[in-house]
Amino acid sequence: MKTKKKSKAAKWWDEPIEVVKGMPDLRNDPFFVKKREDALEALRKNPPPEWLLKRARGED
Amino acid sequence: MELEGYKIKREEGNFIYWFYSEGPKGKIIKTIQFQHMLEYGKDFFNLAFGDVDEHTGGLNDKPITNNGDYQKVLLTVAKVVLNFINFWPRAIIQVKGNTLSRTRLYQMGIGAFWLDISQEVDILGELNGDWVPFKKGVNYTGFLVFKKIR
Repeated sequence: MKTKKKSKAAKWWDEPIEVVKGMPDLRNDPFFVKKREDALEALRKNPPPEWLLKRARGED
Repeated sequence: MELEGYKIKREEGNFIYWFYSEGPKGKIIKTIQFQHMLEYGKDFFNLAFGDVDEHTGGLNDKPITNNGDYQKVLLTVAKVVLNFINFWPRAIIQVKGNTLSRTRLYQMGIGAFWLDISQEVDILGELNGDWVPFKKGVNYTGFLVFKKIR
């Protein structure tokens, strides 16, 4: 007997995001560059747990 | 809580997301970049959040404007993070404000949506130099967000 599968309720964060072209490239904006430097500094002072770093490196 | 954030767009080819905040200060373009931190692994990212200066097109380094819609902004940021994690399931994302008050704001957002998001992600909070599982009501100085390890 075939049963009808219940569809999974859509989650509030699942809405599709529009992909666009032509926005200014901010990857090298000084503000974002500084943010990255600050993030690196924070990670140097207090690195994530090794098990998580192994996961980030694909070693798990 | 009404779970409706702002409409989000993503720039093709990179990890930058955009949305407009609307309020008494008008329309403000907010942007989120997931910065690849290859120094810590191919799946490690930092979340960088800023306002776009409409005159220069660049990011302004002033404290983020309060447009009276912080809950909607936090919800939108949460959506972006979860969307990115669905796109890059092995991503580990560092979330840390450039001020303690900004980190508290992120914490408020995590706390507000914890019931939902804790089914999808695990979060470690930075507490006195240690990384510990996130608990509501505890003040942290940074967060690491990643897809739930099942």
